[in-house]
Formats: sequence, C-alpha cells, structure tokens
Amino acid sequence: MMEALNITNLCKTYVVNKRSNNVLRNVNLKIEQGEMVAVMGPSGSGKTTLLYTISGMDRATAGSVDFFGRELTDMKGNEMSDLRLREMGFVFQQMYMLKNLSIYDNIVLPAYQAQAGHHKAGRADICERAVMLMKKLGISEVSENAVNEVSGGQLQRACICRSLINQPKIIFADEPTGALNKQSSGEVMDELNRINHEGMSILLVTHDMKVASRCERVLYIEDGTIRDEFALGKWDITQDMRVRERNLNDWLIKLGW
Amino acid sequence: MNFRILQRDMMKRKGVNMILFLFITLATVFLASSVNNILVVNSAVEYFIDYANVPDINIVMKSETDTEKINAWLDQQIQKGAIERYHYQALRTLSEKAVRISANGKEKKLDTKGDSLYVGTIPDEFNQAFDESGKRFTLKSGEIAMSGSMMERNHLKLGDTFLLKLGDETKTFQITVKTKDAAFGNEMAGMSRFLVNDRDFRDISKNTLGIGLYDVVSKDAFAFTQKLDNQGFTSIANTVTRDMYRKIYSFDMIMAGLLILIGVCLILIALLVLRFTLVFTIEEQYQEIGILKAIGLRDNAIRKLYLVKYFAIVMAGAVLGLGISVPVSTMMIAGINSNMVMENSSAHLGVSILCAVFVVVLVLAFCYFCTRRLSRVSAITAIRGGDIGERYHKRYGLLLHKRKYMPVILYLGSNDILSHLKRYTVLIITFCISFILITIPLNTLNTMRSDEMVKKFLLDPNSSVYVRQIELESEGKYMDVNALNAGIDRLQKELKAEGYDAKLHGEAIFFLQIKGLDASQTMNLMSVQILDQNASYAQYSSGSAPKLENEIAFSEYIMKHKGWEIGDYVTVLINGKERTMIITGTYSDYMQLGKSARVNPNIDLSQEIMFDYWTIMVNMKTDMTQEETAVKMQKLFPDYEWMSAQQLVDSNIGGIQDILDELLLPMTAMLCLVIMLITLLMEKLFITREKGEIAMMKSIGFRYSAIRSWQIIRMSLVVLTSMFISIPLSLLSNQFLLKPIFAIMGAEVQIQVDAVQAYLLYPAGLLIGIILATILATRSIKYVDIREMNNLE
Repeated sequence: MMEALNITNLCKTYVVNKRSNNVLRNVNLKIEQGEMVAVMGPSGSGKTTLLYTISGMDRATAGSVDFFGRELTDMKGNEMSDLRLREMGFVFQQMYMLKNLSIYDNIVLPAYQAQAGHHKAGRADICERAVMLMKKLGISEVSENAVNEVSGGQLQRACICRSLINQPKIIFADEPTGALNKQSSGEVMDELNRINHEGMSILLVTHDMKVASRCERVLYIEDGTIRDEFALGKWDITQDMRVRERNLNDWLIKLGW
Repeated sequence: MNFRILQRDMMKRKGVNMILFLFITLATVFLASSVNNILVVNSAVEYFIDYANVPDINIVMKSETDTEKINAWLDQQIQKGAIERYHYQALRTLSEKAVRISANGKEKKLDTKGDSLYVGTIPDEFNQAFDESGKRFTLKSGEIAMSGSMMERNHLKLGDTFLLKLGDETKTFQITVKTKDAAFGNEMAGMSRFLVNDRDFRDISKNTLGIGLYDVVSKDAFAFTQKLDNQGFTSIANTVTRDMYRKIYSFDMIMAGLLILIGVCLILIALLVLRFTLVFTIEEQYQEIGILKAIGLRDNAIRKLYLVKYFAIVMAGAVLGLGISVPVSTMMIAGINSNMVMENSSAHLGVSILCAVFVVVLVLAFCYFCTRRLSRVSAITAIRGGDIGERYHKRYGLLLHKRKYMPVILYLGSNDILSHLKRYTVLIITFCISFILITIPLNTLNTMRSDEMVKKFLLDPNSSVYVRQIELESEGKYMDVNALNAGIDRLQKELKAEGYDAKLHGEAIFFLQIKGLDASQTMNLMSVQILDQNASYAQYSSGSAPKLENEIAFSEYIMKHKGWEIGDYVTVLINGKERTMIITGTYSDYMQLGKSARVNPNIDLSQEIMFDYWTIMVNMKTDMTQEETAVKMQKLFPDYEWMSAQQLVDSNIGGIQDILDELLLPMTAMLCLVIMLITLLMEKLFITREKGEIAMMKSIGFRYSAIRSWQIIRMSLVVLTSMFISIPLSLLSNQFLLKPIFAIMGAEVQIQVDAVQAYLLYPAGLLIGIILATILATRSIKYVDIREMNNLE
C-alpha cells in the first residue's frame, strides 16, 4: 500500500521571549493510504502542533514531511495553500465556518475557490457533490440554514462535508468530537469511519478513548516525541467496541495515561 | 483596575487610537481658532467703524455739479429733523493709467482689482484713517498714505515710490504710511483712497476730476436714502450705509466660517469612527463583558471602563488641540489686525477652552450613547460563546451555490455588505460626504468658468476679445457716451492700421432716475446701454431686448421688487426731462448685484453723465481663442488692457476662481489623506474582528492573496456604492447649497457639472487612495496565525 504521509525527524521549536520551546522532537511517523490513525497524549504534549505541522498550517523547524511523494517542508506558502485546498481536508474541534454564509455555501466555498476560472459546468458538479454529501451525512434539511441555526452535531457534520468537497487524499481532524455531546460524537465518528472505509486516510487528534478506539492505530505522544503506538486493526460494525476500548485503556494505563 | 484596562486598550489598538486622537486634535484646533476668529471680527468691526467715525450714510458723488443743490436739500433735512448733520469731504478721482508705482527700482502699473481710485486729505472728522498702530498721522509734502490691502496686493512697502501723472508732469510721492481705513480700506468696498497733505491735494486738484463725499448722520438711514433717491440728483454715484460696511467686513469671517465647517466635518467623522470602534470593541469583547456581568457588575460600571479609554484619548486630543489653537488663533487675528484698529487684538483663551470642552463633552456623550449596546450583552452570551440561544432569524445576503459565474472573492465581499448593511452604512456615509465635498469646489469652478457665467456678466463668450482702459492720457476719463464712441472709433482705426478689420461695441453705464407710473419711489438705478444694435449675447429670461427709443428692460430682482410686468410703463429722467418707456423684457445677471436696467441702443444719452463703461467688445476674424487674442493684442497695443471674457469675470469676482483653482488639488489631496486614514482605521478594525474567519480560510487553503483580494474588493464595493449614492446627493447640494450662494451675487445660474471630472476623475482619485489604504492595511493578513481560529465567535 502506498504511504500517504512519511514524517522523518520532524522538529518544531517556538521561541518566546528569547526562550526556545521544543514542542516536537524528532518525530518519525508513517501513515498508509486509507489508514485511520489517532494521536493521543496529555495536554501540551504536542498533538495539535504535530497535526498543524504535518498539514502545512505551520512550518516545521527541521525534518521532512513526505505527502504522497511530495516534500511539504520545501513548499512555498501558496503551494501549501493550494495543497490544503485541493488535497487535504480539515475538521476542527470548534466548528469554524463563515457566519455570513449558509451551511450549503460554506460547504461549496472551498470547491468554488479551487475551481476558480472553471465556472458554470464545474459549479454544477460541485453543487451536485455537496448535495450528495449533505444527504449522506444527514444534514440536507438544514442546508439553507445559517451557521447559528443548526445544532453542534449538524455543524460538525457540515464541516466534514466541507472537508470532503474537494475529494482530498487525507483528512486531518483536531478533536472532532471535543465540543459535542455523546450522541453527536457517535454520529460524527460513524461518518468518519464510513469515509475511512471508502478509502480516505484520516489522522485525528483526540483526548477521547472512545474516539481513538475506532481508529486502526493509536499513537501516544509525550513531550514532543512519539513514545509508543498501539495497533487496534480496522474497526467495523461487527466488532465489540468494549473490547477495543478495554485493550486501548490497558495500553494507555501502561503508558501512565 | 481602570488604569490597567486603559493601559491594555491603549497598547492593543495603537493605530486606531492614534487616528482618533488626530481627528479630535484637528477638530479642536479648527473649531477653537475659527470661533475665536469670528467673535474677534464681530466685535472688531463694530469697534473699528465707531473708532473711525464712519457716518450713518456716505454719499459718494461722481461730479461736483449738484453740490449747491444737495447742500440746500440737506440743510432742509436738518431743519425737518430727518438728519442730525452732514459734512462734505472733497475727493479727487484718479485714472488707473495716471498711476504707476516703483519698488526695488522697478516701475510698474498699480493693480487696483477694478477699484475706483480716489485721493483726499487726512480726514479730521468722519471716515478717519489711522496708521498701523491705530493712531492718527500727518503727512509732509511728497508723502502719501494708502491702505494695507492695496500695499499687500501690489507688494509695496513703506519707502516705495508712487508716481502720479498730472497733465504733462509726473508728481512723485513716497509711501510713508500704511493706513487702516474703515470706509475705503476693505477690498470688498470697491473704492480705494490715497491720502496726501493739503498742499499736494491742491496741486492734484488742478488736473483731476473733483468728486465729493457727503457724510450724513441720521437716525433712520433707510428712510433718508429713500428720500434722497426721489430727489433726482444725477451726480450721486452711490450711497453706502453703516450697515453695508458691517456686511462688507463680515466677508472677513468667510474663511473662519469655512474652518468651522471643516471642524464640524472632522467631528462628524470622528464620531462615525468612534461608533464603529466602540461597536467592534464591544462585539469583540462580549465574553469579558458577559463575565463582568455574571460576577455582578452593573451596566454603568462596565460602561465606565470603556468610557475611561475614550475620555483619555479625547482629553489628550482636546488639550493638544487647544494648545495648537492658541498660536493659530493669534495668527488669524493678526491678519485682521493688519486692516482694522482693534480694541483687543488677543485671542480669547476662554472661548478656546469652551470649544475644547464642547468637543470633549460631545464626543463623550456620543460614546455614552454608543455604549448602550453593552446592555445587549448578557452573561449567557459570554458563557455560550457568543450564542445567545436565538436560533432563528432572517438571514440577509446572497447564496453562493446559486451564483454560477460570480468569483468567490467578489461573492464574499458583496455578501458581507448585504449581510451587515448597517455596519457598512457608516462607511458609505463617510465616503459620500467626501465625494460631495470634492464636487462642491469643482462644480463652483466649472460654473464660474462656464459660458453661462460669462453671459451673466453681459459678455459674449464668442466674441474675439475684450478691451478696457482705452482712454488716452490726453482724453482723461470718458464722462459721456460721445467721448466713449470717439475713443472706440479711434481704437478701431488703430486696429485697422495694424491690419485688423474689427468691429467694436461698448457698454455704457449710467445711473438713471427711474420710477413707475404709479408715482412710486424713484430709484437711482444702474442702467446699461449696449451700444450694439444686434447684441444677441445679452440674454432675456422673458420678453425681448429693448430696441426702440421708448423701450427698456429690467432685471428680475427689480421687476419682482417693484411688482412690474412686461408691457408696463415707467418714467425715466433723461436730460432733465421725464420720458415714458415700456418694459419689453426681463433678465437675470450679475450687474450691480442683479439690480439694473438695460436701455435701448437708440436713445440719445449723450447729455447724461456716463458713470463708467463696462468693457468694449472686439469682433474680428481670428482663429485664436479669446485668451490667445488678448495676449497677442496686449503685445501689439500695450497701452490698453486686453482681456478674455473669462478674465473679465474673474477680475470682477475678486479672483475667487484662481484661489479655488489653486486650492482644488491640495484640498483633494487633504481629503484623500483623511479618507485614507479612515479607511486604514476601518480596515484594521475589520481585520481584527475577522481574524478568526481569516485564519479559518487560511487553514482550508485560501491563499493570502485571495483573502486580501476579498477585503480589497469589499472596500472597493463600498466606495463604488458611495460614489453612486453621492451623485444624486451632489446634485441636491448644487441645488440647495451652490445655487443660493451664486444667487447672493444677484442672479440665478445653472450649476455646471462636468460629469467626467466630478463623478469619475476626482472620485477615481479618492477610490485609488482608498484602495491603497486598504492594500496597506491588509498586509497584516499575512501575519494572522491559523491558531487565531480560536477567536472565531
């Protein structure tokens, strides 16, 4: 299977008031295409920084990030933007959307921008895809609503639709269920699992063991380095979640979680 | 705690605070210094008129022919109690050509700006003149005194030479006193007086025309002038009342008035900016406000925290503005002091302080009004992250998925405006004010330069050129129409000799005694006789030009004032006999502030004293413009004054056109700078508010250039909208602001709008300035960190 991401000796250092803070220290990581990987770790361990650095939202201080054969750390700002727009999808803990736009418009926005110059026909395809995604994720009925007129779960599903609209190669999710209740969390994870089953690579950061137990592999990061990883195998509906959660819990306890 | 909050807020928005501070400072400077100026001018005019003992009525004569009759009539008026007393001052009239000046070894013509020139002795009772220190003075033989305005206009200084041609000899005077002359020293009076000692005056009298000045003391100046008009004294040129002098001096307040207007505009803009800043700050800090409320702080207590900051900025701006206004006021008052004797020539610090306090109170009251919004923020809002729990409200704006062609950034820009119309209205109003402000001087200038304006001065824009001052020194001033016609014939021959087959026509000006058939009050009315049978350039708003011997036309003002209509009869005193004439038409022009008559070209007025002639129109074959012809003819015939119709208009309205022309670009640049500052401030506030959205757009792959374009396009759309809205508003300002201003001169005029200039070129300049400011402000987008997404409400 082809590697989606190959990260070698990735370092990230912040300098604040002339004091260096090494947030990531020589992180090495590989993610296969179609794999769903969770990153766990205590607060301040560098989970979010890892996600931001490998998705090109932040610049690495050292090391390399190979994304489907392309080196991201050498890319210029605009190249990185284009890559994020066309080949990566993002889901954040807070459901960030433009308040002036409807749910539907927020979803089609990145696709319209990616297709700038290819108007009418291209836009019709985008709308068709958006409608299909909204239907799949069960938010068709709120498509014309404003951002503040839908529930948190619906909004997060809309964010997933937006992340999928440009048919990316990978989805980065930062605490995708962090701001949701139990039921909404389950619905969102169902969707992410379904997308993953369709072949999408997903790298997510979470504190939630239930969320991590739905992933194929869990990485534990501490003090900016990946201390250990735990392979759970691909999850499917027939599996007993409680067993996966127990196994993961045992592993985490061993790590001092 | 207040101090800590103040310190934090000041550091957080340095740029915004600085711009606000700048506006408050400038507004205070303009307001304090100009209010001071107006108050000082007001009290100074009254004091100066009293100090110089300007009488209730000055009767300016054009000859000494009626002196005995007038003296007898005035004596009668004393007996009847209509006047208290009168005094006669002898004056001699000077021809512009007889005077030359010499400064720094260079001899040149005196620039009179069309004023009538008089020479007299130092008056000892009425219409007194003083030296620069406000004291009476004496003159030796060979010394001359003249007004400060005349000296400044001609760049003369004390010690320079004044040459007066008297017959074959030239008398040389040294300028030894710069006078403060209440009756003759103001540029708007149209009369300038030179003062010499008694011996020199006697010498001058031998070769100049004697006129006189009656100084009349009367409790009812209006009734007296009415009676005087009914007497039919043909040698009276004009009567000037004390009130008229007050009005003349009030023109000195125009500049101060303009500065007040600018100050008010700046305060308005500062208030708009303040509202914008406050609303943004409150929206941005809803969490802090909500939490303060949650822990039990009352609305007023929270308001105080916000008001402290603005109090600090406004106080600092007002104090600095007050400090600057003191030297500015002193400078402005010094300008007045150079032409008037003032009781107290210092600026009133108390007035300046009051103005500064007014600015502080007004701005703080407005801040207090704007902070009402605080009460809308509740503790729940803060806890729910800006969500007040209200789920359903109407959404305005456009739908992107329904736009098949609209580029995304254009959509984002226009959708923002439509979604928050109220927010952008503030900006639109500010830009509209700027666009209208720039069209006012532009339209004024275009109107002044228009053919219509030329025709309102009884000039023909299509003639070849105009000529003035055609009298030879030997001919003296033309006193009747025959002398004028003889002069015209001579000039026509001189032109022919140089190969110019030209036709010349003059416009003779008389003051005729006219009254209606109902035996109403007689008027001593300025009457123009166009010495051309086919003067098609003289326009009539109704009826037709007077052609036959018994035909006359009046200006609209006179017709309305007297209640006359076309077809009515009037009697005109000509050669001592009353002639009945029929009114054939009415017109609206600027001659004698719109109060005049036009007499037919056929009636013989050769026995009447001609007050003056307006100008002489020259028609000949030429491909050149009037300006080019004037330059060429001036070289060929340097003894005469050659001008275009436009130059004649300009010389008559005191060079306002030149001043406006010179001020237009600096004004546009200043306005552009102010607008750029406002745009910079607003855009910075937008970016501060939208940091979260910008970060989110960056995270999902929007390029920096795309996000920047979104901001620039949005601002451009606001500017374009303002441009469109300002077009009808500017047309309204033409109608309700400019038209009445032009009407002060005595006639209605169609305000001329050069659409390309007023609605395209100049606004485009402002548009470029605004876009540049937006580009400058949006550079900060580059530094918005994706982590700022946490600021997204």
